[in-house]
Amino acid sequence: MIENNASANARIIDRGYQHYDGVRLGQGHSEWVMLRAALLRGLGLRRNFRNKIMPWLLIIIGFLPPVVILGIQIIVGQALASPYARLYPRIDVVFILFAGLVAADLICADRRERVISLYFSAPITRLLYVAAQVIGLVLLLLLLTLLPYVILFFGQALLAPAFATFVSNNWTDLRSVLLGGTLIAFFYGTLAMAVASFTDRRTYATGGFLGLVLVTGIAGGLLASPRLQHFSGHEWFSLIDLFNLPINATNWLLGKTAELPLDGVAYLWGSLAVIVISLALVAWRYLKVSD
Amino acid sequence: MNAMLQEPQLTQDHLVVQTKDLSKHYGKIVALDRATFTIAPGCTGLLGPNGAGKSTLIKLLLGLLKPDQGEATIAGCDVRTQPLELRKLVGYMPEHDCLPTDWLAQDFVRYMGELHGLPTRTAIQRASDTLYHVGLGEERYRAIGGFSTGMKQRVKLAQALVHDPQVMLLDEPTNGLDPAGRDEMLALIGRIAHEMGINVILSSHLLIDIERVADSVVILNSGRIIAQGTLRELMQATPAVTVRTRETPALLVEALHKRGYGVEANGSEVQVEYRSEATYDAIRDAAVETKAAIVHLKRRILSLEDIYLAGQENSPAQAQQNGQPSANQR
Repeated sequence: MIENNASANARIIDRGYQHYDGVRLGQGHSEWVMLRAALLRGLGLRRNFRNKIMPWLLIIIGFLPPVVILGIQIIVGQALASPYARLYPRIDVVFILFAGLVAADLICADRRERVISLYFSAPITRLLYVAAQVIGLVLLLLLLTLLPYVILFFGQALLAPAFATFVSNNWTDLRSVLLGGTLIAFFYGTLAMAVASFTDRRTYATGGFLGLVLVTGIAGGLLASPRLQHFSGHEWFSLIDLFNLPINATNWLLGKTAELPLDGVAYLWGSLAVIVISLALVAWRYLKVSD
Repeated sequence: MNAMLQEPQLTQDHLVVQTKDLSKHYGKIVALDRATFTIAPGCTGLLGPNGAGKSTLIKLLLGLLKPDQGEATIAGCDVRTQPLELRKLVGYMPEHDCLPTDWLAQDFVRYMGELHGLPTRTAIQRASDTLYHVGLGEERYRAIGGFSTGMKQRVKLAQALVHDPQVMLLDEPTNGLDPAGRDEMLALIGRIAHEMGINVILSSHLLIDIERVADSVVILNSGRIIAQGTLRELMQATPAVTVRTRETPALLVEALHKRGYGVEANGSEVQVEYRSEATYDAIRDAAVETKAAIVHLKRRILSLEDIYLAGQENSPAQAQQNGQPSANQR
């Protein structure tokens, strides 16, 4: 009887070491795993509370204007005219802060704590690693630059007397928001990554990125100012304004061109050039970085 | 995208590592100089002082560095042409601190498993099991930043083990550990090599660590291989026979000299140069001739330390100190 009870309660405590002879997945799986880690890290998830404060605060601030506008429209009971071109320049600083903070968080600690020596001992390439970090940051930025405005658009459509009519009448706004929001996310995401790839200290990376954007913003704004009209070609200096470059391109996409010193397409090409240069810098840094 | 790569299989017949004339230079500094050696399955010690080229060799074997010259294979994969394939089969524990302080141990080990190709569910299970095997079962949901040095070393070991590698490259795994921690780490490494059946290449500058767990050894100094083989072979490959006599062995020494043997006398003990089994015959004949009463006759067994020191004396660095040009300079 005792024997029967003993065997009924028996459990395997130590299974011993088990060899693994199942499948080993390829680089696509590794890339997804790194991307997932970057997204969780950027949002401070599975980390202590301190790491969650800034990203979530900025996300909440980023969602506020569209949500407030939508709320007003619900109260007033009528849709406002296209608000996007007025919103982007006012909320721009939130995108910049988010990009600077999260880029530093994603890549500086890995180099500072020398974790990349372990990552590169896994079957991944350096470019795959850095691509996951860049894509992760851009996706997180799209949460701010795209999602609130898409919600605003469809919120307005729901408030309109006819949903389908509103969408078909304003689809160019939606197209411009999708293009502009994506451009802004890529611009600040890649630029912040490029700056962060030059240091392993988060403070320097964030400070360097904010400093670069502010200094070029001030310099570009001053040099392209209408007060310097006697200086021919002064308006081209607006292209060095990294604070407003993608916002100007987005405003051009949204059809708001009156305040732009140059033809809007110049800002689009300028933004794309900055993205390409930033990506090249990040790739170069990571092909060179020692482990 | 989840393509399954062809996985080379390692059998007992395969050598774990095979190198030929493997060299690596950093500018004018020779980190590894024409290293040619083989490593058989089991636990192998990579022994040498700091700066001997051990870490460079490990990075070359991982495909993290490109050799300037020569070739090498590990687990059947060419380090030059198959770096990604080989890293699926190899686990690496670096010498330096390399852990993310704000990750939970379980999350990090699982992450490393996934990076090495394990499906997510398997990686979660194996991370728990592996942390349990290295003695961190209870602490696995704590942030690594709060761990002691010994616990961090165990996490490093766990991340190298989680994907069930065929070969583990452990670079100075006992670094920074107190004596008790060192004992535990060596016991763990011994279990991995001898109970779990995973080939281990253990780099250390501590003879005692290598002697305790390794079956064979590769000794490096100033980037050159100065000895290699199983511990048994190396310790028995002694070029001397110890002879002890009842009286002062002056006549015996002279008789052996006449037979052309190198002899060193120290009191009643004589070290006779060993050439072959015929050496024993020569000693017997010399003893008969001089009427020496032999009370002890044994081939000298060297310790690993003797081999290591002998190798160091013959090394390029030592030659340089003695005013001779080193191999690296020639």
